[in-house]
Amino acid sequence: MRPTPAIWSHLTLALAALLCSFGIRSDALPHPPDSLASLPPFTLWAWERREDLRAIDTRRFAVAYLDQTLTVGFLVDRQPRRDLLVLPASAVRMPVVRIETAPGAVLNDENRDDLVRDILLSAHEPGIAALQIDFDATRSQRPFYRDLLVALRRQMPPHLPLSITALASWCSADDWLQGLPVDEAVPMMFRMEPDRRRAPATADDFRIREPLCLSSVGVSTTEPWPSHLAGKRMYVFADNGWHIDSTSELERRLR
Amino acid sequence: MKTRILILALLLAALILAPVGNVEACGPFFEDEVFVSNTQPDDLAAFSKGQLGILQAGFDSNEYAVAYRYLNGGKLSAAELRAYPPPPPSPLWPAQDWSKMTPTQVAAAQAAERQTQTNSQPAGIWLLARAKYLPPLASAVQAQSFPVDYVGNIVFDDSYLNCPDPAFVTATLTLTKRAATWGAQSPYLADWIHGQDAVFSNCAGKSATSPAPAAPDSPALLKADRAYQIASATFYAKQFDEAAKQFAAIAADQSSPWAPWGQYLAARATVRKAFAMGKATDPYSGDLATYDTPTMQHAQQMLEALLAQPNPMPSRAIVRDELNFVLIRTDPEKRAAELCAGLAGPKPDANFLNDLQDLSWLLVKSVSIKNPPPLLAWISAWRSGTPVSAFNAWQQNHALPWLVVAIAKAGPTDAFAPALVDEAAKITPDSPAYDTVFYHRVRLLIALKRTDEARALLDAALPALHSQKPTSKRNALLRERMAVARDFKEFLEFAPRNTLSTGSEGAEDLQQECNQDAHATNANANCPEVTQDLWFDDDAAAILNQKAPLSLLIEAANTATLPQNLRQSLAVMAWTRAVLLQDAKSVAALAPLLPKSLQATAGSSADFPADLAILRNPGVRPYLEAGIPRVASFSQFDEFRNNWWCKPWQEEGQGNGPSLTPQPAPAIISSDLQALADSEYKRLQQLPDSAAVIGQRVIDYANAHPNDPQVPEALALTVRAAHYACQTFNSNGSGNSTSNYTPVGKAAFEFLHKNYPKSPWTAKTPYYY
Repeated sequence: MRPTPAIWSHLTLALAALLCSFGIRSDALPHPPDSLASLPPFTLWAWERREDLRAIDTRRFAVAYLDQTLTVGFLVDRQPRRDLLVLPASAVRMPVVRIETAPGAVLNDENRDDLVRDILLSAHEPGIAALQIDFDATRSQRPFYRDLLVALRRQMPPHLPLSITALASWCSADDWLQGLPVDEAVPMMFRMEPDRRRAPATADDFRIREPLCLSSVGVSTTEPWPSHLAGKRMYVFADNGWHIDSTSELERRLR
Repeated sequence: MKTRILILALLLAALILAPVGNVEACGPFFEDEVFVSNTQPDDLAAFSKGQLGILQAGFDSNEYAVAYRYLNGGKLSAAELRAYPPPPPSPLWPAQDWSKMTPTQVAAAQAAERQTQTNSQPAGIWLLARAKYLPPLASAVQAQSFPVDYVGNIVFDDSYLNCPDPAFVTATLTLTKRAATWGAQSPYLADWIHGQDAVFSNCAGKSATSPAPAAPDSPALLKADRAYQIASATFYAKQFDEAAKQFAAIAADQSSPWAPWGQYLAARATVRKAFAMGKATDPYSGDLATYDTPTMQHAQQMLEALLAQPNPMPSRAIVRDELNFVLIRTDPEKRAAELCAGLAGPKPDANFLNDLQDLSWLLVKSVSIKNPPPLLAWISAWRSGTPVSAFNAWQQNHALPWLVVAIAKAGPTDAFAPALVDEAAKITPDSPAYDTVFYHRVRLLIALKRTDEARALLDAALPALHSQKPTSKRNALLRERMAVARDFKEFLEFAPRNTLSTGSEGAEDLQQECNQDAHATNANANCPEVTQDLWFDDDAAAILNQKAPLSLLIEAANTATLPQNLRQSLAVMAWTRAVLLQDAKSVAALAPLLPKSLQATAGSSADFPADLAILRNPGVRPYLEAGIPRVASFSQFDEFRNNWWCKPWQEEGQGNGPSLTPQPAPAIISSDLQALADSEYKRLQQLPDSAAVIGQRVIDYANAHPNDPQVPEALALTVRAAHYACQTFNSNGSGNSTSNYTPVGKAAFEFLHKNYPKSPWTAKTPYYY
């Protein structure tokens, strides 16, 4: 029996609805890139404070450690990690390079090249599983950041995964991440706007749509977590440092 | 129907998978204006030459050591003056406005600055020297593995200075010598450079590479250099046992030019090994880094044996410094006595800088010293001693340093305070103790109610200070003089003071105003209002905020001897109060004193025009903060919501809050005026926050005068104020907001959209908050 026009109409409508639903909730079906999927399910951010992580279960936890902070001003100033970090030799490691901009930062090719040169110092660290860049680029800084990532991707070890942190808005209401040469963008679901002085935001309007943001999520130890974490690798930031926000407490929360 | 169900099911499934995240943020951070520096001297160079000023309890150990030397009858030698004070930190980048340069000029300026920075660092100089003979390294050295510690952990510690500057200096010198010996094109030189590259590749502590051994047919000099390079690379790769052996072998090879360094470096490798073997380190306690005691003692023996030689190599001073580094850990009592004796003088200290560093280390690390030497006891008296113990110490030794700390610690309830005041009077102006002792003599006289004596001393001292550049001393004495003012006029005479440093939110707003006026985008514009003007410190601000009624504030704003910036700030603050209090007479009196932009809107009205003027100017508020007040940049919009005012006036996290420390009613204000001030202050404190009180007045006016053409603007600005002013949210007691908008903002928004749908102000106001 040949399909009638009405059936075609219904099928078209159903297909459109399906596509629509994925468009709205595309984070429902995460597809971790192969290059990062083999990492442990949880990654501990070890930021600029003394951290002793020698006792972690390295099968469950990787460590993304702040390795250097690069400040772009007239030139690029490099500040290597200042605080002690102790890890088991078997830990899966990911150096993080934090980029900041001083007032009046010169975002030109020269400073971009200097940034790439400095970031490569982290990219060449032996035995690392991936490299992560942390740069809260403003709207006007995005073209510079994009160029930086393209130049970096071209020069860093070809098989080393490149991760970036992302403001939640980049992954929901924005589309500027599209086409970036990165393996993942980690939406940071903590410490976000809108009101920096007063009551913490209660907004739940960050619906992750950008494909690069689907495989992972960044949370903190003291703030509420998104309700749907299944299938995502979690990056966890310890607001009070891991000596207080212990990994055992994290394990308890993960149960 | 089935299709519709499918659609609904898919949409529902998608809806369920929504992620949610909650957020908060941190910073920014501001620093209050400084009128009296209590953490370090105003001018370290002058201080180091004996101009000690008023010593403070918050000074660093370096300053205490220098002060003690002078108070002890000594002075810093020329060599010591070269070492102290340390050079001020240079800015990261040159302060230049590159916005006016072409891209090519910017790139050229960057290249020049980059070269300047490179040339100023030993590591950079090494790279420059290296570049004369070989092209720069193509890429970072790819290491095969991370070095691990003695129990197999990876330890990142960039605070651990692995390759100090002398390593690069030595490499640069050696490179120059080897180029002269072998020739610039020699393959031996290239071999040597590659070997040195491998050494330095271990500096970051994240690789463990080693130069290849020299070829058998290499010159003896290259073989000796290579042995040294291999030992150095091993040392920087934290393989200390092996490094010590290799350095010891070099020491035994008398044909090696590096033999004089061998024993010393073997000892250093042992010191580093002792730390690497520390087993009980708690990285969070701030305690001393632990070390393996037998290994450290072995290192100490190696250094002592080296120092016992008639001509220790590489030099007695170098070996001595390393031994001190060990001794302060293994025998801190002995080291503390030694360094304090050297620093106290009065003779110069041959080991001055090293002793200063070790003194700081002892104090920062809170190392327990059972028998503290005099210098250490004196510093302890400043920081945590009691007045009685300081006085007793002075009674025992009658030494000048102890008189200084005794009088600085003493209070009016101490029975010995009058005796100290009398003793202080004997100190002559040429004494390094004079400024400190004079200040505390005056302070105690005031506290002991001997105000006439104090006033006479201050009036004799202050005129000479007015011709000098502003100092903590001048501001401290002005503070005391203001405290003994006989009337309001005298109060106003001594209240203004120069800031020594700025950093408050008020200062930032004023700087931004200067930048906007000067169209400066990449660098701060010159802003003498921030850097040179006189402002009120917290003592004067507290009295003006709490103890002065409107009538006195009007008098102050009209006082011609006050600087214009203070008169304007007083006028804006007092006018805002008068508007809030609906005091039409005071509003009319203050209106002519307002800045023109405020006057133009407000006129002399206390009603709607005044409200509109307030809404147009986010820095307007009814009080002054110490330092640069927010009203100084009354028209400037603050990016961090320090706009208009809160309820109560001072709230946590509100940046520049007014100084509300309860002050005794000053004698300069009559009891009638004090009562009036209290009444006004109480009424002001009972009003809602700025957006609520002004916004409600605007809504009331709009209801009564809907055809006033300025009403839409006032309503729109009310919505803005509700968004960006300090807000008082309803709280459920847990600190969490129960409302995410302000009622007045919503009411103004609805009034605006309902009654003026076509107004441009309505179009500019799409949301309420």
